[in-house]
Amino acid sequence: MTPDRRGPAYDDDPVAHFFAEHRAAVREEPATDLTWQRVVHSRRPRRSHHRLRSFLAASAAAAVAVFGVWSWQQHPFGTGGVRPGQQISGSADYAASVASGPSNSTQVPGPVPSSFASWSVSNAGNGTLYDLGSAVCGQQVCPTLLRSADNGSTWRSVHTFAGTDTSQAVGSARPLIQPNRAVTEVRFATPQIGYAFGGALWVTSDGGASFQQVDHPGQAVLGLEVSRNQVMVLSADDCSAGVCRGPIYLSRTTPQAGSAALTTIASADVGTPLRGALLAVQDGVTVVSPIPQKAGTPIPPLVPAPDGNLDTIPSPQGCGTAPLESIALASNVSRLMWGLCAVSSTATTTTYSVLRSTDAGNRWSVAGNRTLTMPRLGRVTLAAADQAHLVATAGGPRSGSATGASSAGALVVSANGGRSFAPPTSAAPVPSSGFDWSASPGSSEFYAVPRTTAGYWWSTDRGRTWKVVDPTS
Amino acid sequence: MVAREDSVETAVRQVYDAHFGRLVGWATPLLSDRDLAHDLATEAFVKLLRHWESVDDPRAWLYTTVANQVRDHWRRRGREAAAYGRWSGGRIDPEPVAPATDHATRLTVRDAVESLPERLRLPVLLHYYADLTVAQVATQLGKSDGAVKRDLFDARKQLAARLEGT
Repeated sequence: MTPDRRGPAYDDDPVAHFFAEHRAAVREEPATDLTWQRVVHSRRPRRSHHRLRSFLAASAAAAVAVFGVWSWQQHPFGTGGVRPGQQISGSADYAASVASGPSNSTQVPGPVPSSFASWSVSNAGNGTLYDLGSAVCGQQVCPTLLRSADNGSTWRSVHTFAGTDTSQAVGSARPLIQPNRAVTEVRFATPQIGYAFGGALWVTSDGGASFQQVDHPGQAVLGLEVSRNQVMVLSADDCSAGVCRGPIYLSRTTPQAGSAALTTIASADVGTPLRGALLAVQDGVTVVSPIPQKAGTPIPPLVPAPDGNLDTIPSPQGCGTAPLESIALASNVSRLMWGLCAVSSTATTTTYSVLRSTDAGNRWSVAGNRTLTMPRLGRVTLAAADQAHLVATAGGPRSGSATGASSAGALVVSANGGRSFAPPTSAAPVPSSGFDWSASPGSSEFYAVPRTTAGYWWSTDRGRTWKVVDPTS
Repeated sequence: MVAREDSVETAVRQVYDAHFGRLVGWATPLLSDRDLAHDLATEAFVKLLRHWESVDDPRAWLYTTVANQVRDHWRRRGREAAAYGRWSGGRIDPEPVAPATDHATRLTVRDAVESLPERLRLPVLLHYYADLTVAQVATQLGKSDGAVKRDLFDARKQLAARLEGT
C-alpha cells in the first residue's frame, strides 16, 4: 500500500479492485537454476569465442544433454511447443547428436490446405520439390511443408509444425531474423534429408514425415544452404525482436540420416547490430552477407578463413566506396561469383553495377556498369545460373520498405552476363510486394518466391519465361 | 573485472530469486502464453545484468521492461492479424474452431488494458497491475507525477465504464 494512491477513495475504486483481484490471482512460476544459467550465458560477450571453446565444450555438451532431457520432460513439443533458447547459446563445438533435441513425430501425408501460402522452396533433386509455407490450423497459422515428386505438378502436405513461433512470420513487418523457435525456410540435400529453419533448426531424414530439432551455436539460425553434400549453417547470438547483437557463427554438417552434428568453423563479432545475414554456398565456397540494422552503415561480405575468423571481401575497385552486396554464386559454374554495388538511387529506384569474380571473390571485374535498376522495395536478391544468365529480384514484406516504389521491374533477367537486364519475355504479374527470395537450383532453372501468394514463380529456360506454381490449384 | 562481474551476478541473482517467478506469472495472462512470458522475463533479466549499474529500482525496471515487451507483442499481433486477414482473403480452411472465451462474463486484464488508448496502457499496467507507485511509474516512463496521475484518471474513467458493462 502506497500513500500516493491508496487514499480513502481507493476502496471505492472498481478499477483498482479489478486489477488487485487479478494481481492476487497471479501464479508464481518457479525460478530455476537452468533459467538463471540461460540469463548468464546470454549476457556474457563471446568475443573470445575460440579461446573459450575447448574450455566450454565439455560443460556445454553436458548442459545441452541435461537441458534437452529436462525440456523434453517439461515441454514435449507435441503439446506445449518448443521454447526459445533450448539450445545453450555458446562457444562450444556442437557435437551433440540430434538425438538430444525434441522431435516432431511422424505425420501422414494429406491434401494441400487451401489456405497455403509459399514461404520457401527447395529442389531436392530427382524431380522432388519441397515448399514450406503457412496454412491456417485451428485459429492460428502453422508452418506447413509440402512435397512434390513430379517437379511441381502435384503436391501433398507432409508435415505441419504445430507449436512453433509464427508471431513474426506473417504480416508486412516480418523481420529477416525470426524468433528462436520459428520455422520459416526449408532446404533439402536429398529427397529424404532436409532442414527446416528460421530461428530454430530441424532436420528430417524421412522426406519430411518427421523432424528432430538440432542444437546449434547462438540463439537464432539466420541461414542454411546445401551444396554438394555439405550443409552450412549461419547463426547468431544475442538476438531479440528481429535484431542480433552478438557474434555470428558459421557451422558445417553433412547430410546423413540419423545425425546432424554441427561443427562451428568460423565466427565473428561484426560490431554492429544486424537485422539479417544472407548465406551463399556453392562447391566449397561460402559467403556471408551481413545486413546491418541501420541503413547507411553497410558491412562488406565475409568469407571463412582457415584461422576460424570471418574475413571481409574488400570492396572491388569498380564499386568505389560502396560495398558488394547481393552476392550470388553461379549454380552451374564453380567459383563464379556475382555481386552488386549500389551506385545511385532515387526516391523509388536504386541503380547498381554488376561485378563478377571467377576465382571465388579474390579478383573482381565490372560486368555491367550501372546496368541494373531495381525498385526500392525491400532488398535486392541476385541469382546466377552461369556466366551469362542472371536474375535479379526486389521486394519482401519488410518494415521500412515503404518507399512508395512500384513492384514493376521487381523481376528482371540478364542473358549477357549483366551487361543489360530486362523483364522476362512472359511472366505472371509481379506481386505488389515483389519477391523475397530468388535462386538458381542448377541446370536452367530459377525460382522466385514472393511469400505473399499461394505459389512461387518458376523458370525452366534460364529466366526467359516464368510461370506460377500454385500448390493449392 | 571478473570480481565486479561476479558481484553483479550475485546481486542480480538475488533479484532473480525474488522476482522472476512472479514476473512470469504476471506477464502470462497478458500474453495468454506462459512460454512467451517466461522468455520475456528471461530477456528482461539478461538486460538487467547488462544494465545493472544504471538501474536504481530493479523491480520497477523489470516490470517496465516486460510491460514494454508485452505492448510491442500486442502491436505485432494486431498488425499480424490485420495483415493475415487481408492476405488469406477468404481462403480459410474449414477446420474446427475452438470456442471463444466468454468475455461477457469475465473481463481479462489484457482485454481491459487493450481497450485503452495506447498512451494509457503502460501507466495502467504498471500502477494498477504491477502495483508500482505513481512516482515509480513516472520515473520509469520519464513523465511527471502529474502526467501519470492524469493518465490514470483518464484510464479509470474509461475502464470504470467498461467494468460496469460486464
